[in-house]
Amino acid sequence: MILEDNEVALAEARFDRPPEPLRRFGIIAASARTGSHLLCRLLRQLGRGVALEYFYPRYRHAFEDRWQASSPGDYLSAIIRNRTAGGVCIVKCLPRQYMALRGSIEQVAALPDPFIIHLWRRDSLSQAISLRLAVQSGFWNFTPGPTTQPKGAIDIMDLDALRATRRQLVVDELLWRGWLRESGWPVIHVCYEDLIADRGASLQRLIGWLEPGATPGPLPELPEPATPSALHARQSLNMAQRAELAAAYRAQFGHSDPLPDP
Amino acid sequence: MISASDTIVRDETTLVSALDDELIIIDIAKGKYLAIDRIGAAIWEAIAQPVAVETLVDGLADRYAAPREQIGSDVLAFLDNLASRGLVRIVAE
Repeated sequence: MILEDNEVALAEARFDRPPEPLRRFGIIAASARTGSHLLCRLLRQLGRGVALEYFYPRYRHAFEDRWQASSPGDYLSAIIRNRTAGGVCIVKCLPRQYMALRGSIEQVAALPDPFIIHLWRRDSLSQAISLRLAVQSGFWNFTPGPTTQPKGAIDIMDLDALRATRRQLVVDELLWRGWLRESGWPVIHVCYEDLIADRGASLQRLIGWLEPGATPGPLPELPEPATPSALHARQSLNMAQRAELAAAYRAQFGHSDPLPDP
Repeated sequence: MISASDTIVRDETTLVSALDDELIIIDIAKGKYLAIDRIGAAIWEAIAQPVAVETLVDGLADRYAAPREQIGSDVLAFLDNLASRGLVRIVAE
C-alpha cells in the first residue's frame, strides 16, 4: 500500500489550508527513525495540524517561494497561516533544524499555549540499522519511489559505520533532552516502540494530554500495516536479517541500550 | 587551568550516556558532544562529588598500575578539556 499523503506530497500546495485562528502551537521533537512520519499522519487525520518537517531545507525553500516569506519570522507566520488545522499548528523538527526553528520562534510575537511532543526510541541499535537502510535504499516510508537519492555504495554490514550512526542518534536524543529541559514548554514523551505496538493507546494518551477532557474521536484507519515489514520489503534487509546484524554488532561491541526513559 | 592542588567537581546538569565502551557527554550550548573512553569515564564517575585532583590521580595510578607522573599529566589535560567546555569546575584551591 502506497501512502498518498507522504511527506513529499504534503509539501505541495494542495495541502495548504485557508487561514484559521491559532489555538495551540506545537513542535514534534524527533530524531531519525522514531516514528514521526506515522505520528504526523495520525494527528493530521484527526484534524490536529498538518505536521511536517517545515525546516528541512528542501521543503523550506519551496514553501518560502510559494508563500513569499523572506525572513525567519515571516516563514513561521506563513506556516501558521497556511498549515493550521483544528486550531493547531505543528512543526516536526530534527535536531539539526532546531536552531533555525528556535530563531524563527524568537521573531514571532507570541505563540499560544505551546507544547512539545518528544518522540524517542528505546532501541538505538535498531534505530541505527533502520536509518542506514533508509539512506541506502532512499525509501523512508511507503512512497511510490525513493524520496532521497539511493546510496547503493553503503555497506549495511559495516559494523564500525553502524556504530558511528548509532552514536550520532544517541547524541541527537541527548541534545533533545537538554533543549527540552531548557525550553520551558510542556513536553509529552512518546516512545516509538509504544507507538508501533499500540498506536491507538499512544494517540489516546497524546490527545488526552493536548486537550484534557476532550475525546479524540474515532482513530483513523491508516492504510499502512501496524508493523514496518512492508517497508522492510523495499530495503535490503528483512526483519530476520536485521536481527542477525544486531547480533553481530553486540558480539563485537557489546550492547548497552543507553538511554533511560526521559 | 586546573592544577594538582585543586578540588574539582563535575557539572551535575550535564547530559551523559554510556554507549558500548564509551561515555558520551553532551555540550548543549554548542550542540556538540565528547566521546570518552573507559578511563575518561572512570574519571567522570570519580568527580561526581568534589575530589582533590591529587587524590584522583593517586586512585587512578593504583587502579591502572601506571606511573603517577604520566597519569597526573594525562588527568590534568583531560580535566582542562572538560573545564574549557564548562563540564567541571574548581570548588577549592
